[in-house]
Amino acid sequence: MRFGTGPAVLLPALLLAILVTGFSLKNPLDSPEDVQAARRGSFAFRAMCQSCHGIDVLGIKPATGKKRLREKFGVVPPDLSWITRARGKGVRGEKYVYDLLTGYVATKEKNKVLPNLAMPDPGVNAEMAADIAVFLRRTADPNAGQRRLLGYIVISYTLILAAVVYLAKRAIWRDLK
Amino acid sequence: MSSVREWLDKRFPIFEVIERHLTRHMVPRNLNINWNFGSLLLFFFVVQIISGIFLAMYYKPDTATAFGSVQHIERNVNFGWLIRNLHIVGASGFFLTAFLHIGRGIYYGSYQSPRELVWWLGVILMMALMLQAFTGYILPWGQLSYWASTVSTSVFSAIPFVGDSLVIWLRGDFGVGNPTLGRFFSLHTTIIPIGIIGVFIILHLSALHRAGSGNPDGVDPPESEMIPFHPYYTWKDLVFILLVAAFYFFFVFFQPDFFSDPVNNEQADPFKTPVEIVPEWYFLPLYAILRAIPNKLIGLIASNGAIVILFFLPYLDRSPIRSARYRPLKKIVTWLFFINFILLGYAGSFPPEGLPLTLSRIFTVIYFLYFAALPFLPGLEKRWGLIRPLPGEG
Repeated sequence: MRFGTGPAVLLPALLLAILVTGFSLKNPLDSPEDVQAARRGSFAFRAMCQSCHGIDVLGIKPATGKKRLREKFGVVPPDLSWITRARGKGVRGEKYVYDLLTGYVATKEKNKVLPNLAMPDPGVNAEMAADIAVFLRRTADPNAGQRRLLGYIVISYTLILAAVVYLAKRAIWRDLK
Repeated sequence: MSSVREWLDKRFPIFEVIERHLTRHMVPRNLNINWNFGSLLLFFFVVQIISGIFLAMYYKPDTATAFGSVQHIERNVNFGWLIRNLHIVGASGFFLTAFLHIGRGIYYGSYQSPRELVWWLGVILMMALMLQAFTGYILPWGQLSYWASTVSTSVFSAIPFVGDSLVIWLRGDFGVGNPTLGRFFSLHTTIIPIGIIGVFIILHLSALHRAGSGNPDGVDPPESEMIPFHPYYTWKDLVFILLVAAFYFFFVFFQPDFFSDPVNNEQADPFKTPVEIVPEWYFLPLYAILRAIPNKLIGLIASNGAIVILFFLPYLDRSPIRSARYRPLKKIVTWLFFINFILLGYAGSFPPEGLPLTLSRIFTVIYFLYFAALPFLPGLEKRWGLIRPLPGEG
C-alpha cells in the first residue's frame, strides 16, 4: 500500500515541529502548583512591586504617582500586564523576570541581566522571585491551560478526520486504475 | 428536485458554474503534492477572513486604545485568544504556502504559454498579500508595529523630489500616529482583503480554468489522462488541507508566539527605539535586499524589483520545455535560487554589518543573477545536450 506524498511529508514534519519547539505531555501551565505559586506571587507583587508598577489588565494601579516616579527614577516604570510575553517566547519571559529579580549584584552595573537598570533592588528572595514570575506569566497568558487542553482535542479530531477523508480519497481514486 | 433545478437553471447559472468549475473541469491526473498549495491558500484566505471579522468586532483603531483592545480580546472576549492566534499564525501559514506555490510555478514553468495571465494575476496577489501583512502589522500597536511602520514608510523618502511629501501622505501625519492607524485599519479590513485579494483570486481561478492546470511533466496530457476536478481533486485537496490544519493548530494551541517577535507585546512608545527593528520572517528576504544596497533609492527599487521581476518570467524563460524535470540545468539553478532565497532571509535577520551584510550582498546578486541567466539556459542546455526526453517522445 502506497502512502500519499502529503501524509508522508506532513506527519514527520508535525513530529519534528513538536520535538524542535520543546513539547511536554504534562500541562505544567495549569497545574495546582502553578495556580498556588501565582497566588503567592500576587501577594508578593502587591508587597514588593506595586509601589511603582501597575498591572492594567487586572486594574492594579501603581501606589506612587507617575510624576513622582519619573522624578525619582528618570523613567516611568512599565506596566507589567504583558511583561513576560514582551521579554521572551513561551516560558522564557517568565525566566527573564526571575533572572532579573535575582540578578542584583553589589557592583556598579547593578544587575546581571540588565546593567544600569533604573529599578532599585526590591529585595525579594529566590522563592518570592519565582512566584512573582509565575504570577506575571499567568497574568500575561491566562488561557495557556485551556489553550493546551483544547489543542489536544482539536488536533486529535483533525488527524482522525484526515485519516477518514484519506480513506475516502483512496476509495474514490481506486476506480481510476 | 428536477423541477427545482429547471426553475433555477432558467434564472441563475449556479449548476452551470458547478459543472464548469468542479464536476466537468478536467485536470491532469498526474498532479503531485506541489499542486496542493493553491487550494491550501484558499483555506488560509477563508480562515483569515473569518477570524479577521471577529477581531474587527472588538479591536479599536486608536493609538490610545488599540493595544489595550488587543489585550481585552485575548483576556476577556470568549475564545478571543483562539481567534487572534488563528489570525497571527494564519498569516505565517498564508505566506509560507504562497512562497511554496510560487516556487512550484518557477520550478515547473507554470508561467509559460498559455498560463502567463494566471501567473501575472498571481504575482499581483502576492503583492496584495504583502500589502495586507504590512497594513495588518501596525494594528496591535506594539513597539515593532510602530517602529517597523516608521522605518518602512520612511524608506519612500528616498524617492527624489516627492519623497518627503509622499511619506507624509502615506502616514497622514509627520510621524506614524492615529491617522496612520486609522487608514491602515480601513485598508486592512476592506479594500485589500475583499477588493483586491478576493477579486484577484476569482480572476486568477478564471484564468486558470480557461488555460487549464499544468502538470509535473509540463506536457499537455492526452484526454484519457484527464480527470474531473470533483470528486478526485476535491478529496485529495481536503486530505492535504486537514493534515496542514493539524500542523497549523499545533502552533495555534501550543506555540502561538513562535513566528512573532516578543518585542511587539510591549506597547508602542515613540520615544523608545527598540534595540533591533526586524520585520516578520516573510519580509526578511526583501528586507535583506533593501539593506544590502548602500544607496537608499536603489535599495528601494531593488527590493520592490525582486517581486516585480517575477512579471517578466514568461519572457525571460523562452525554453520550449516547461518543467525543470526535463531540464537538468534549470533544475540545479532553480534549486540554488530557492536555497539562496532562504539564506537571503536568514542574512536579513541580522543587523546590517560585518559578515551578514557581505553575505546578503552576495545573495542579492545571486537572486537577480538567476533571472539574468534564465534567457541563456535553453541555449546552453541544447549545446551541452542536457535535455532529457519528454514523456511520449521516448
